[in-house]
Amino acid sequence: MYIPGGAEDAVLILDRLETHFKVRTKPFARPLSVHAVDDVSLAIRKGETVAVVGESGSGKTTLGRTAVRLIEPTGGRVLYDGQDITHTKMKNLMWLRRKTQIVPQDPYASVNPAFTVFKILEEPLIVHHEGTTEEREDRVHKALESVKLIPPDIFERKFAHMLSGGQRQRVAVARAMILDPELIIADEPVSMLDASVRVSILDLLRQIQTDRRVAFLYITHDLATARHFANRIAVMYAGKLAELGPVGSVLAEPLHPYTQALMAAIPDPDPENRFRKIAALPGEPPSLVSPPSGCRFHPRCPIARQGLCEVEVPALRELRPGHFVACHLAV
Amino acid sequence: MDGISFDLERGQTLAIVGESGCGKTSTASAILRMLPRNVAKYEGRVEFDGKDLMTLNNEDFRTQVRWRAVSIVFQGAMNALSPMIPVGRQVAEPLMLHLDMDKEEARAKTEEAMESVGLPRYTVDRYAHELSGGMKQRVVIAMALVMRPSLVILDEPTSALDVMTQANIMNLLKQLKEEQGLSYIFITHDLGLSSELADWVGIMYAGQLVEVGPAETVFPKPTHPYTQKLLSSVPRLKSEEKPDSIPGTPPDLTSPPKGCRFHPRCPFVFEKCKSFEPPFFGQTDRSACWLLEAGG
Ligand SMILES: Nc1ncnc2c1ncn2[C@@H]1O[C@H](COP(=O)(O)OP(=O)(O)OP(=O)(O)O)[C@@H](O)[C@H]1O
Ligand SMILES: Nc1ncnc2c1ncn2[C@@H]1O[C@H](COP(=O)(O)OP(=O)(O)OP(=O)(O)O)[C@@H](O)[C@H]1O
Ligand code: SF4
Ligand SMILES: [Mg+2]
Ligand SMILES: [Mg+2]
Repeated sequence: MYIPGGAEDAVLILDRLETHFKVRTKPFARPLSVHAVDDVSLAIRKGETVAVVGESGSGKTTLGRTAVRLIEPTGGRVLYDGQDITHTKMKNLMWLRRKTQIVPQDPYASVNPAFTVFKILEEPLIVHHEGTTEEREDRVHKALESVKLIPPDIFERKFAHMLSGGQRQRVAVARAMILDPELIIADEPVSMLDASVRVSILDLLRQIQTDRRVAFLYITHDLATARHFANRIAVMYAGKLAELGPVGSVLAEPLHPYTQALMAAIPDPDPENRFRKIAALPGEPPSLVSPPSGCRFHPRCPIARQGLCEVEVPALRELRPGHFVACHLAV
Repeated sequence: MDGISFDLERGQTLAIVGESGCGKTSTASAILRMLPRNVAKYEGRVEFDGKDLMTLNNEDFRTQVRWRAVSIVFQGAMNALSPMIPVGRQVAEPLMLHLDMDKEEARAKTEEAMESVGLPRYTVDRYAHELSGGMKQRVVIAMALVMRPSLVILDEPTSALDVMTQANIMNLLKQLKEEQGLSYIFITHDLGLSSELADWVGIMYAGQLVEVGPAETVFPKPTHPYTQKLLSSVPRLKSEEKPDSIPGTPPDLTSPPKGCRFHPRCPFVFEKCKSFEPPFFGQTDRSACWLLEAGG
């Protein structure tokens, strides 16, 4: 097994993971395969945050859900704490449902508006048969305090529909934390929130991480929040890893032309911006039913070399310490 | 929205920036007199090219101003395209309705408009579901341009799009501005994005404009505490600077705080802020904050 970036002290290892979906364009037509995740190898260390970044449809959510067996992989292996769980029966995976949690994108869809905050937070404890009634009450209080919904005895009696988006997302975070997980898959946890509350949720996640050494798979299309929240960045393009490395190294010196374009496309506030064109990529991401040959990025790549890029699939190569790139021309 | 005043020179862009629910779309609707049924109060003045638009009756406003002089790309418009009618017909509609063009002439103008937004001419015969998000957004922009207005209001024109598609649309808007000498009112919640077009920046909070000034001064040196906080809450991609959060949440607009509406969240709040509404202070960069009162 070869994992770029190493797998020491890993809580989760993805080994050549592959998730394809079967879709039919018409009833009775031959099903086609959507190559949503293809040959992704990646480890998440205990207490580490890895940001998975990429355009819509690049396979980020599929990767996150496959990693915790919410979607069945088509190929490759998933290892949790060194144990191969790729084919473990669901009924033997209750412990995984406790050790790994998901914070979803849309606080309005993920938190049942007709439930009280108390009920939303108590439910996972009941499902996993944890504690007496008093103990559960105590844990709900502590969870609310840790996400700064204070005073907890007021907030726990509110119905979710009475909360703002930011408050609902805090409830979703508290619910994910209440079973004391080791790994959290946070799928765009702040993209629906306003600028002024976005940072406070990310700060909260970061604090939980340092206090309890929880590992995060932080899924986002926003490189800027990844910079401030993650230890490492994995850039996905059309179902494959394009670049992987420590945040500092990747953003100081993006080696993949796709990462470079992604960085150019996100403006920091600057009055000079209006006088220049953004170096954006033309076209659209490719179809994952028949992804481009060779490097999947070649049809949009500004530096693609004919005879090479559309022929050979680029391997992930370590060009800087811990910093990998899948591009034939990167040096 | 409450007591909004600003002016905009021809060929310039004003970006209106603020958080969800602060009244950005309401401001746009008020300019175009597209008011929701339950509007309780609508007063003030809108002047365009030296003409007081408030003196026009609804019929004159509809035929002389809306679309022809001032047009709008509505928030979420690309998802409101009809699935049943080719997009070209939807773009051509105002031409036939307001300019009495015949079919051929309208089609030719529509094809031109498609080309100007970077779409092939044959797009006119396509249906919305055959187009990608970026292409639909271009159609909606063509729709706003087809009557050749001089001012276009862009309400979150890219917020449903991916970063790369967004970048391409921003490039298009820059190019159109240059080629056609357009003026824009660019509404967005994204400060970074606003700097892609803004010559002037207006910051809204809880239904009011709290700061208006040139991009050159507002981005590096904002004077209103809310603008300062908002700017420092933006995670920067190209610098190490850590983003800072703003404590609290925006107020409920059915009963906004007395005095300065930002006072419950303001780090510099003092007694006066709690009971008296601050007027604008400052020359080119104007802010409604008591800290800026002469000598303050
Ligand atoms: N259940 C499914 N059946 C068929 N195709 C699917 C399914 N789920 C996802 N896909 C396809 O797999 C690809 C990857 O989707 P995924 O949701 O993982 O992307 P993503 O990177 O999370 O995108 P976004 O940023 O929009 O959330 C897409 O082309 C999507 O249409
Ligand atoms: N027809 C209406 N009836 C009652 N309240 C309304 C109506 N339209 C808007 N509002 C309220 O007015 C305020 C301003 O709304 P507006 O749509 O202008 O905000 P916005 O700044 O455009 O927000 P967003 O960024 O979410 O689009 C909000 O509190 C909204 O709930
Ligand atoms: S007027 Fe007072 S409360 Fe309002 S922003 Fe200025 S200092 Fe803060
Ligand atoms: Mg997703
Ligand atoms: Mg709006």
